[in-house]
Amino acid sequence: MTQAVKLILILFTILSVSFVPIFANEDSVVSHFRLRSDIKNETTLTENIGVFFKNSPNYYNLPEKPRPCNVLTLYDVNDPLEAYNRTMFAFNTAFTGCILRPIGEIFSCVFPEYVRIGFARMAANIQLPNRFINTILQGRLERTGIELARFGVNTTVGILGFYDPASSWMNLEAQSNSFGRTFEYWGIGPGCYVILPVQGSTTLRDGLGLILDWYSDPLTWIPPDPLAMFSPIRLGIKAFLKVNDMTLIMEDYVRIYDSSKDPYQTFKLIYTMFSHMEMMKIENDKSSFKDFGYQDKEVLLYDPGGAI
Amino acid sequence: MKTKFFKILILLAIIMTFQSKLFAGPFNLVYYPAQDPIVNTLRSALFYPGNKQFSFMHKQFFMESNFYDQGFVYDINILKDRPSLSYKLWLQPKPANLITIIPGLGTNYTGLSLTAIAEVFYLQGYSVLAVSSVFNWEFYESASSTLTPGYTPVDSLDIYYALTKIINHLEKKYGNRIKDNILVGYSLGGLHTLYIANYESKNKDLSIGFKRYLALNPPVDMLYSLKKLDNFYLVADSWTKPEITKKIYKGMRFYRKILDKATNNTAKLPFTINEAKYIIGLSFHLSLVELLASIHERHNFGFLKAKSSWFSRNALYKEIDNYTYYDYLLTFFKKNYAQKTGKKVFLSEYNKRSGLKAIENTLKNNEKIRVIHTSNDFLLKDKDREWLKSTLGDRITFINKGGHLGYLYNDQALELICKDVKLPKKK
Repeated sequence: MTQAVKLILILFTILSVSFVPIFANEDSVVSHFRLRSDIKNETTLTENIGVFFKNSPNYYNLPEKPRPCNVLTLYDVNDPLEAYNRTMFAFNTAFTGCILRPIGEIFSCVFPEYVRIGFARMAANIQLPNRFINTILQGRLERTGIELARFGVNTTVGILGFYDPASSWMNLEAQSNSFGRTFEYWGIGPGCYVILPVQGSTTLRDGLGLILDWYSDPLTWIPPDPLAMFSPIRLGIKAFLKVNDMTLIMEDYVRIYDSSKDPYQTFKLIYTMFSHMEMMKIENDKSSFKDFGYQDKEVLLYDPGGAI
Repeated sequence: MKTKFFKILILLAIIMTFQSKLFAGPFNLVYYPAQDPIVNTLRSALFYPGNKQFSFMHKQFFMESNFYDQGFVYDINILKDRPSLSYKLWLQPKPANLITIIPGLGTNYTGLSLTAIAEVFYLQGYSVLAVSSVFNWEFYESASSTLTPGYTPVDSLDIYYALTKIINHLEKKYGNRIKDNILVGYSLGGLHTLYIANYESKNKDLSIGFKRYLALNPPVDMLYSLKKLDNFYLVADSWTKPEITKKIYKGMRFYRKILDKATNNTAKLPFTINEAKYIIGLSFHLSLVELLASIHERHNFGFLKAKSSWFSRNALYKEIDNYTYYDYLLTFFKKNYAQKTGKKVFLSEYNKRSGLKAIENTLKNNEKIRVIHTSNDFLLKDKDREWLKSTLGDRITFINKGGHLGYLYNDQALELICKDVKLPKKK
């Protein structure tokens, strides 16, 4: 009897020892299922071993719950009009490629890059009324003062906004603003994602904000037809500025477009990320690295001013 | 006494003469800030095309005066019933050696770093050919014979087959403007470069006949490297949305400053280790999303439940967004190879056959191979570094800093790369 027990014990030991190497490597059955958080006890493990050997779909470790850091979920925007948006995106791409780009090539032969950057700064400078109204509506009076100071300095010293000494000399950084951002500041949700012809990406909320932006745009009030929808002078200036902006970003636009499997998805993600960043700057009233808690002096070397 | 003294002197002289071989140390970069290797990896963003071929006035007045637009994009059909594969070619006006570059994980042929390396070689007098990475959606849709990339022997053969077709086509079209062929790969591309070296050494009749193989920071253990990248991305799991937005904003803003040449390249980067991890992990994660979308289009493995059509893909992308590289290996990759082989798939077994150690003999014996690595690349374990040293001997150079490819912008490192790519003069 004692010998039988000993024999059983020896047999059991041999089996346990030989059992271990089978499951010793990282991807063995035991460690494979131990990775799953639903394996809590031996019974479940045994059941799943059976499942493993049947080679059923449960053999494959599907990701469990959505992760908090999933970027596409974090920056998701409601897109019930996806069919329309994709069609409009295709139209805008064709318009950019066939019309804007060739015009931009000629445009850039006439105006060198530093001049085009200057034009973009002038266009931003002239939008002071819009930023002024929006900072007041947001209750950010300090920012209102900064916007006025920026306008004053850039219009005079900066030659009508061609240069931006307010940022580079006085650390009064630019901050984009609009009625869309004001609505967001008030807590109004974005609504759905919409792509407008030529204009590009926006949301329902920001699109409604564009109407008020139009009224606060000084170019809308240009004589002889202030507020007219199709004033040739205003349309001409808008077209000029649109082509100018396009020449400054064309290289990045083409690279992103060519390298993306789904450019629509990529540009939508970029748009929503940028919107969040703009809103973050407004809510925290911060524009530079140091305002995000980085006190390292060297950081300032990387932050000479200006928004993205 | 005197004899002993002279003997000691002679011994010292011999040691000093052979010091570099006996006590081979890393290649030391000067003016390179010492920071954590993960943060230093972000310095690869400092490496972008300098567009040095164009004058200041040319750059001011022409919208597309950059090195990228100097090259031509060609399309070539690789696999039947698949879309054409696009590649980029910068051809020298006179006959020159052709360098083919295989980029890192998920990189498209339009990538900035890839264009920057191409520019360096072009300015040295080489013609340059750039293709997309095997893990890039574009290469996958056009030239991948497998439904699930990730098994290096198959992936490298896919690239090799594509390159054979491309180079044959170029040689027919441009005749004697293409002299010898050189293969350069970085990161995952470096691993594929060395596997191609292995293939060519065993199949001399069917080969393009590369005269040199240069691998920059190739991983040794695929599974270890991919898990590392996943962990980098998942560092944000405990962050809130505003925190993630801040990190992304910081990274994008810094990148904008780099492109505007408003940074001091010798100063320290203003990123913490976790921020650097997340930025690196995020960029690789986004290329995985595109790849999985392509895989799902080509074959439905049953893992993705969201319905999609041309007009509606948002839900599908959100579902794919939940996958890491390791999840991909445990699902799509495993199922594909289980169905192909009819056997149970152990990733560890595939990993052994996918790493550099599987081609150890070729690495030891092939004199055309050169490798440049860093002493602090986080994709390597210490024992991998030792193994590389013992296998490759003086054909590998370790740069003392830079993390994973963070040295590319440094002129010293570029000189070293150009030196390693140079072919010996023909007798």
